[in-house]
Amino acid sequence: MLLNRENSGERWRKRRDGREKVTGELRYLTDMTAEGMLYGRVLRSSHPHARILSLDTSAAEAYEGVIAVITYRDVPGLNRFGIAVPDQPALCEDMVRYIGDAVAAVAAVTPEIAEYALSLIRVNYEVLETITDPLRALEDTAPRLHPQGNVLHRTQVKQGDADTVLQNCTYVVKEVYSTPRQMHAYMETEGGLFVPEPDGRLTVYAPTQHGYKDRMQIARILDWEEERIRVISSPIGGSFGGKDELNVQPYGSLLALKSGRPVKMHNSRMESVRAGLKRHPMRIEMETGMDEHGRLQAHRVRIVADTGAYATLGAPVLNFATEHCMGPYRLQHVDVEGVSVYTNNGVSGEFRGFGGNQAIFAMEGQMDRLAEKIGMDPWEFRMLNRRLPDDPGPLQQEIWRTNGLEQVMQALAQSSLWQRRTVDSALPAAVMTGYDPVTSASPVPPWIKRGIGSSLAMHGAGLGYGIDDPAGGRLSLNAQGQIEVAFSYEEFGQGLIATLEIMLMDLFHCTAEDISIVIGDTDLVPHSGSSTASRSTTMAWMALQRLKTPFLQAVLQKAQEMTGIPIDQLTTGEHGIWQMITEEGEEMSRKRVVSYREIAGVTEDKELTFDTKFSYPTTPDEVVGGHFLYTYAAVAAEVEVNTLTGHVKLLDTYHTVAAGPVINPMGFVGQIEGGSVMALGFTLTEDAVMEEGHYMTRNMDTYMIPGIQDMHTSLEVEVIEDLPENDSFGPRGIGEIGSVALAPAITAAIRQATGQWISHLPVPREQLIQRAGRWQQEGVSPR
Amino acid sequence: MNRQSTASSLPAPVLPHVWEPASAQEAITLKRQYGADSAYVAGSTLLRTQWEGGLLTIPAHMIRLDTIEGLNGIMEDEQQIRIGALTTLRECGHDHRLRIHGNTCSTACRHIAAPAVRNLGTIGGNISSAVGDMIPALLVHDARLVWMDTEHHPSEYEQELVDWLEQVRVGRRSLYAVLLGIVIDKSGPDTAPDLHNHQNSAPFHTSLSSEPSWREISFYRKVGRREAFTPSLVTVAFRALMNREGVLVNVKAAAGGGAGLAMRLSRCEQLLEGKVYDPRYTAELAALVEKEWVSYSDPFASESYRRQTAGNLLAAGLWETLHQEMERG
Repeated sequence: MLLNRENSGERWRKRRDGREKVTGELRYLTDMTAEGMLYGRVLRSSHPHARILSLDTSAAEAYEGVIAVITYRDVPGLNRFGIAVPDQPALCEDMVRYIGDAVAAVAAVTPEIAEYALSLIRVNYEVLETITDPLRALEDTAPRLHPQGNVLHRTQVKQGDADTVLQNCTYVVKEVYSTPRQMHAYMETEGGLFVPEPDGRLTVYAPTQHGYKDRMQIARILDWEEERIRVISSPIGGSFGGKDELNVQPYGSLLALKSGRPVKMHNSRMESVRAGLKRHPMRIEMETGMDEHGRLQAHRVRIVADTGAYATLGAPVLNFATEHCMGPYRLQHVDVEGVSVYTNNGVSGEFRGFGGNQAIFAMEGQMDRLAEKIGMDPWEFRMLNRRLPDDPGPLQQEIWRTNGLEQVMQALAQSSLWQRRTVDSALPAAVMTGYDPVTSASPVPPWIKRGIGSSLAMHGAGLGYGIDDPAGGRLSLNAQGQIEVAFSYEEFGQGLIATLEIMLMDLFHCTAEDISIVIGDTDLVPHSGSSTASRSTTMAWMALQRLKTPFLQAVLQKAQEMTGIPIDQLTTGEHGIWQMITEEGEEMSRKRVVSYREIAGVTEDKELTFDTKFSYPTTPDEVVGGHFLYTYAAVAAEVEVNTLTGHVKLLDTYHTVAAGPVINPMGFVGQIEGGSVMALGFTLTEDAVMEEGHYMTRNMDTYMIPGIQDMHTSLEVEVIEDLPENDSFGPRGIGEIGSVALAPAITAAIRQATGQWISHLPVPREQLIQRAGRWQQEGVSPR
Repeated sequence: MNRQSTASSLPAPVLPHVWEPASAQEAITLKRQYGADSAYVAGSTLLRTQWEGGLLTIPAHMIRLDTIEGLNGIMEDEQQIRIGALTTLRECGHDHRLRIHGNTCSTACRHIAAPAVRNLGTIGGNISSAVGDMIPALLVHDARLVWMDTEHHPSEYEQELVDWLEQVRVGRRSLYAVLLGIVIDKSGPDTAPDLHNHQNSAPFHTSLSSEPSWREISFYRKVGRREAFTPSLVTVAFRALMNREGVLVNVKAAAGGGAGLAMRLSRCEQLLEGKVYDPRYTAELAALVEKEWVSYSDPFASESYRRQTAGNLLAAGLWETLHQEMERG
């Protein structure tokens, strides 16, 4: 089914946080102020790699209006942070490893004084060799950026004898793919308000994707018990993985405690670029062989990921890339090795797609090249080599069986976009009369070439085997007579609140006014894990499935006690409990017998509160990082290449996604559209260019995210909602799947349009530009 | 590789003083008084990005030009269009007189930055930056700049845009001059030259017939790293008169883009002048532009890419424009 407003009926609901957001009325956490508030600023390193010889803050401390200055000496606890591996100094002691490293921080009565005070801090550096190339970092002669060396993490998948089999394959394709340092480019840059409370606690108002994890990390830095810290973390002006790690929280917290006053931190865009996380640039070398019938035989992969100066989630990202570099294909002989390498570049970390985007671009590129080599239609080639429903996962781990892969493949094959793909590649557009249904009357100029490409993806959700992946939730009837859910998930624009609202309305047949949704506050919500890895919707749905029965039984029991009506005649509904009356010979009628508010009025505290705890489903096989639940997607894209300039324009685009039942149609479409646009930037324009450890793209005037005119001319989303009858996992997450497979579809389309294979992203225009006038050789003339 | 460095200090946080002169003379007096610590400002749309990016130091004295009366708006007489330097890019882009008599300029204005910037940014600021996208468009109109650079009366004078660009190129630009306006001649057939003076050899054959019915052909092309709200990588503009036989005269071509100075493409102009353009030689024209235009490399585009793109845009732009002309008959 095409998912759109027309096909969704009443389920196409306006999100409850929508109006405030589009009118600008919504107060984000970085909009907050407090009485007596100070302004915090961070002194970042002047060099990408240097030894700190001396650090003198006395002049800054003496400057009028400066209330607090902190250095590493002011960190009472662990002077390190990092979700997976805490190796990043909150404030550097003796070494700086990238130009975003924090050396000191200041709180002052005005932002200008705070900024000026930074210039009064004297830091003497001994500048060291800057390592910008991960391959250089791996050399024995390279300086060691960390005590254990420059390798953060290695991965390996060995199966069969790939080397030998590759030598005997009829066809082999070998290619090196490289991908950009993409920036999250969220609307709201990192920041927050840090308030020391009279009772000795600290309240942190700062966006994150996991409030409890931030609380743990801040407590570790402050050497406090976690419970003394309250983290309020929603609403958030975009994150895409970028705010899952700590950013300004260490400085805000330390400055607030040292000064005893609220401190506001808010990164400028330039500081956000300088200090913030980026997507891992990867170099992926692939050698893939097949037999004379086009059946894949062997696959050899080498991944080098530039993780930058510190670990954060670099290791899990590499795990994910390793798992996904084999794609949804049957491969008997596999030899994959990955390495995530420290450099003096900006820190790479979590980013929507989590390493899948890079791996899928490379693997799908291989599929297109192999198909062409043997003269097969690229989709038929994929169909021939696809995994079958009973096959294990890419790491040979047990996965949950669905028909999603087969279904998305069939859907794409039948899509109108794919069906109009011509096998006669690279025809001059000017002779393709009638090609464009809108402008068919006027032929396209001869320097415009069009093509259509496709790609396929299976994408794991959840954190994977061996990684703590808690889930849970709380369901209650609150004192105001509302059905209240509480989760530690966050709303960063993805539509969580709207999705939860629809889930509750579906479950209890109530109205939006009957519902209260509590998220983003560690004092109020249970620990149900993070909003990452496309997991929140699935976890919320599973939690509610567990909670609804005890909740309903208790609420209806209460209603029975209050009304005397048998419980089997009662059900939840609009604004309260309804009696269903069926009399012989008459249609069933219903009437409301008691309101939720009335029930709340006679309920003891916590009497109608239910909690659940569980973990995200994982494969039973001991394969660290291996996933159990997968979402499947196929993408078709049509592009227009202007060979005068090498500029690529994305035209019609089609995404089909098999992710179980759609809860929130508008949110679903929004996620796929948003992911697809982000992938468009990854493919065509976005790269945080670094030279010698410094960003050349220091602001949004040189870092090019797609604007409205760059976006797809149309985007269709077709959903496959089928799940096996025994499936108890409900809707799968779709937060990332829209972003992972567009790039290879675009590059396949470019191949059809121009004959050029693209292996580097963003697509180099230099590779597509052709000398004007070549079309004369193709017989096109203005006369 | 060891060397020591010390983090630099900034001056104490003093907010810039903003001056609001009532006249250009007053602005010049202020500029002479504060010299390098001052800057003329109007829309400040480009300056503020340069200040934020550290490319320019925020001046201690900002001298507003938008408080000076009489520098805003577009005027015309029988021969000329005069655009006040403080006219916003939005006004320029929507002005019907400019659409008729300065089509490339009008098009350029509509493709600079984004609507919010065009509402504030002025044509004078775009030119004064020396790298604005307006400059190639104005070059093909032989635009003259009207300046004032002393407090003494009379001090207003006109200067060819191309001459001012040369001053910029050699570092002899006046530090004090205030741009008052831009003048372009209205389009018209009476400027068609004597065709007998234009007898070059192939690839473009010469027509000597004297065709009275001249019409202007012109185009403007800009390529950035995305479709809109992007600095230019390459900008080209072209303008000529053409008769029914396809003879081109008064050929003007220019290219610019990015942080490079725009320039007229005189060899390209000479090649086309007085000739009937033959589309079979598009590639040769592109190659000539590529050879003639001086550009540069940066992290976002190589010099060779910029040159080839400029050649392609100019050659294909001409091809396309002539194609459209032929369609119209």
